Amino acid sequence: MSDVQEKPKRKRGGSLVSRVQRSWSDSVLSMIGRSSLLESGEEPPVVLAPPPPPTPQRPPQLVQEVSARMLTFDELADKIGHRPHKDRLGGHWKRSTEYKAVRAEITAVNTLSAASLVDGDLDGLDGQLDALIAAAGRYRAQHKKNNDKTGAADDVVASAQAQKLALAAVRADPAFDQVKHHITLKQAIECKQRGMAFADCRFDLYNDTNAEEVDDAFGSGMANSVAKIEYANGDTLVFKGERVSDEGVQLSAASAIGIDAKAPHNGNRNIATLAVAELLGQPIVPKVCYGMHTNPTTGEQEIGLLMTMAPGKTITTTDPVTGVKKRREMWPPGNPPSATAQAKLMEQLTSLDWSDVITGQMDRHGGNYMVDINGDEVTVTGIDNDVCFGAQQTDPNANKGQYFSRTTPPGMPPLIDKKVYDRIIASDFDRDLRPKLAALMTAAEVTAAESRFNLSKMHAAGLHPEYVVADWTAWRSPAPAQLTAKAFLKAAGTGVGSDKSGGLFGRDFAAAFEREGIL
Amino acid sequence: MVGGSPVAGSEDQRQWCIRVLNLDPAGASGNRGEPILGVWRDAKEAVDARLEALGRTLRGLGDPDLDQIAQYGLFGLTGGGQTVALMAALQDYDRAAPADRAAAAAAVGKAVGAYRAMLHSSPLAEALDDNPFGVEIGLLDTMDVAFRQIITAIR
Ligand SMILES: Nc1ncnc2c1ncn2[C@@H]1O[C@H](COP(=O)(O)OP(=O)(O)O)[C@@H](O)[C@H]1O
Ligand SMILES: [Mg+2]
Repeated sequence: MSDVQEKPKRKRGGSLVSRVQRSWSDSVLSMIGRSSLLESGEEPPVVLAPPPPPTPQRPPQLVQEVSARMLTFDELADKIGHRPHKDRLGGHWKRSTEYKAVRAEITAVNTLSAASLVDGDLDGLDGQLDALIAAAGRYRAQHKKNNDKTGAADDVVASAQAQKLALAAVRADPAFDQVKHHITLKQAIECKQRGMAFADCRFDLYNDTNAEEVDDAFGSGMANSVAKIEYANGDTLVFKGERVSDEGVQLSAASAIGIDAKAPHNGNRNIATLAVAELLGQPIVPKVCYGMHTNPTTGEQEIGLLMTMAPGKTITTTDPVTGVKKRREMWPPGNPPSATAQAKLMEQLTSLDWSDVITGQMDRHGGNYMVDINGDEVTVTGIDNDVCFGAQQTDPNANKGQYFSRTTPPGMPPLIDKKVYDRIIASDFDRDLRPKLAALMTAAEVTAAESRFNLSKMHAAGLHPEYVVADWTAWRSPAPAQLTAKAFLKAAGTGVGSDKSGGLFGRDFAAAFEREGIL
Repeated sequence: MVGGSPVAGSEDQRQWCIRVLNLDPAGASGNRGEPILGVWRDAKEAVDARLEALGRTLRGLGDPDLDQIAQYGLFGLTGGGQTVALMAALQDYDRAAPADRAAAAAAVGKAVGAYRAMLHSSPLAEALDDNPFGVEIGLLDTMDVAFRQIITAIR
């Protein structure tokens, strides 16, 4: 596994290292199968995981907690007003004074929160929410015997209290200035309902004023429809509206790992996935941030996730009518990828496998990643990174037996790219991931991620050195089998009906390689 | 290497043991005590923390060879393939139903034996323990203390 490269040599001596220490280091190097960088050429030094990042500009954790109970402004108004009164009088609905007071306070809340964030009266809104809470209390007292009405009043109070928390989170967000000119107070509160940090919001760049061309029917998966937007600055991005709640539409794979349907915070899961991919040093998921786009159906401005466009195509397509998945041809028959492309394909697919076990990705079916093969160049991109980072998945080594609806290949990846191995071994959860994840998800979700990360790291260490692949073309499995990487991954299996597999390559490419005679 | 697990006596005998010997024979044979996986994990974590300190020291010297060692040499030893086998055996034992405990204990004995043999024949383990950078690792000693504790617990 020592692929020797020519490198400028460094002279021995003249350093802080004593003779005894040098001889210790020489013998330890030989024990671990390395040679000295001081004497002979060696592979380039590993770029260590970056030094502890300064704690990112994130808002306090409380934003994670507020969303479940929070009603939208319209729902708030509906709670009190949607039931027609029975006793009609002179053509007018007869309403109590207390009812009218609650309506008036809700209207005032609405008016105040329609202001732009920069001009908004945050103190005024906070006071107004207090007034609403008081009015709802009086309404409740007036209707003690009516369960519908006391229930509605309680909901209004709970929601107003949640709005106050969200408002506090808006104020406390260190990146407040980045968004204040671009959204209303109401939208700022909506961001907090979705668990968003303003640091991740680029409403300044990505709004419909800056959009030059929009394709609202660009793509649609099982759960979402997505738009493709070309911006004035030349960026072409994919927009996916961020729902407050997934109640009624949540995938069972998501509930299986404990994602709260009332506060799914899917966008944040995509951002967290990018953090893991960056830690592994592999650009295998889109770059992401939040932006704004008008929903073509409702005509309303929506907050949503913007992703860089992944090149190529998904492995499978889903028939929109029957729901049947079909495999695509990833290259014209008789014209298979070059040896270089094959190596890159294996490197990137296994790297996505590693990222997926660390993030606890549950939904990596063939429609949720894209592959582009163009001559010797290959790009693998995992899209739709919503169903991951569940609090209930602490073991990275998961399969369909545990989670029936899981579509990610089962088991731990049996091979690891050397660059990824080096990054994982050199990394530290507390230093490299915890600070990023802490503001994106609940404490329990961070704890589960820590467990998956550390177990994955241990699995990687266990693969060392025979299954750490520096060169995907030259690598052979240990004697006597001496399989190539592609044959080894194929032998590891498709994962169907099994608790282990050869990852995405084993499931989605090995058979096609065999058909083409390139296995 | 593991003796037959104590035959569970009558409830009276058990109560007598608890009262007079301050010892629960049912507990002694397994999962009443501390999970043995935890015993090993504590030891491993203690060693890893010291290896990390050594790693920091090595990296702090700004020497490319010591950097290499800091990255490759240390973690692999307490995280290798043997470790996974050992962890599996310890975990199986902790989870084993009373009827399966004797078999699980035998498996632990085997895994511990293999792991100790690996550690004690490893020149790297010895080199780490004898490192000339003034960082106390105590790898073999710490692990052996844990293994003695584990073997006592499963008897
Ligand atoms: N970043 C992206 N780059 C290119 N195409 C994308 C991207 N994100 C989504 N798409 C397209 O949109 C479709 C649906 O997106 P997806 O995020 O999978 O939604 P759903 O959650 O509904 O499954 C995908 O199958 C793909 O064709
Ligand atoms: Mg999808």
